Amino acid sequence: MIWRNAARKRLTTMIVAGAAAGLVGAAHAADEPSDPFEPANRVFFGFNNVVDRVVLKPAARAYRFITPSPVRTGVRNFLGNLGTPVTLTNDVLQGEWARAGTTVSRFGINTTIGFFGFLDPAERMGYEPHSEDFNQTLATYGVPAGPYLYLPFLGPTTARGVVGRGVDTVSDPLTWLNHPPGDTVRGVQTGTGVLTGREALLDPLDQLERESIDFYASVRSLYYQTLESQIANGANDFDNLPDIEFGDDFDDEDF
Amino acid sequence: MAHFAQIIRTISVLFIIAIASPAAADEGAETFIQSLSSDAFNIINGDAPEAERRENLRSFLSSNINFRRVSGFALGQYGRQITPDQREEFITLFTSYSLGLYEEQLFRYAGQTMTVTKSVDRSARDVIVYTTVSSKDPQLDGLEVMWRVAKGKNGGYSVFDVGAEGVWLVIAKRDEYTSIIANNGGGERGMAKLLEDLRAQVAAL
Repeated sequence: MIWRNAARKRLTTMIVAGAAAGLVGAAHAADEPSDPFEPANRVFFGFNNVVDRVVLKPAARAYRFITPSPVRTGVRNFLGNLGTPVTLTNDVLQGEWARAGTTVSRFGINTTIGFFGFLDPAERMGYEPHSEDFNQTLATYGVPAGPYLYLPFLGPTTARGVVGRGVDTVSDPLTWLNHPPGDTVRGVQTGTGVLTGREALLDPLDQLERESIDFYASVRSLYYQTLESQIANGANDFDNLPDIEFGDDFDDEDF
Repeated sequence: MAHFAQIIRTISVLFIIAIASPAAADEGAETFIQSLSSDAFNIINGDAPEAERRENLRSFLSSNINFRRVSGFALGQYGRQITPDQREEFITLFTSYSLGLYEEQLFRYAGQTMTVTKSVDRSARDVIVYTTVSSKDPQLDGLEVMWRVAKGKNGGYSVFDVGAEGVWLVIAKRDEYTSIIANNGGGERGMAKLLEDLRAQVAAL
């Protein structure tokens, strides 16, 4: 009975929070890049780039070399499926009921006829994949991003992102499985997650570095732009784009 | 009674459409992007020698992108804090850099097609056109590419920015350039450093 009450209370909180998200969500203002710790961030950026060059990038290249593309897709699918609890929790906290339904359907379909999530038959049935996290949930509640942080090993985030990651870890049931096979699954999840994540970014990051004078500033720009797009669930809120200035000193208005 | 229900249904459908469409579409901008992409790929996939196709693509892009306007945007607030000489040099360098980038990207994606799906007005002179890519490469197929189109005073269209997956190219450049200027003393001094870096980058193209 006590458990029941607690569960009901939690559900009520979630529903209220979700409803609040629906109202506050529309009010989310763009997170302007703010980087008061830039000197320290740049030191960690340099550090991570060394780790990347020495360990991560060679490992990701090796992973790409030894695995055929369908296997890598399967691994990505499997990891995505393991991320269901976090995505579902945050779908609900944001009051995104349709997306929560999609998340549940995808998990049911892909875990069974998708061979434990290695295949993604759900996508072909019209259930497009998406991911959510508590950082995005806080953003839809109107919590500002706080300062930009570039952390050793973990990379770009913000103060809100650190809190979000902590909450996601605690609320993920996989975190609390401390005996086989749960602990193994968690280890595999972390290890392959880093590897697949880096493999997918091999070409884009190489290109970005080639194209940049200030690689640090480019990464920061892409982090904020991507974050905005994720918070808006890909809906592209063009109101937040900086305006074009017509007829200034640069613009001869030829066309 | 049934008649009444139908009227209600029609009104609610119209109401939903009115809410669902964020802003009026701009047909002119959509046509501009559709013909721009087919013309560009016609040049790239043509029979002329590659050097000639590259040259043709560059002049084609130059007449469809107002690089002066984009250059001003790429400097953010610093555009007003630099000398006229710095401004003109930046426009020249940024134009070379951008043409090189567009050329490289478009040649890499030769053989794909782009279809305009819709457009959204940010303002009467600032339109976002959505396109979907069809490609043999599964990584690119179905990708949504957005084009920010600026409308000139006399009604002509030009490409202003290009974006995919929530990331805009010129906005990324603007963030990078303003960061370099700010970290090197701001204003004319910071701009001098940016120009020095850009000169080196363009020379290496």
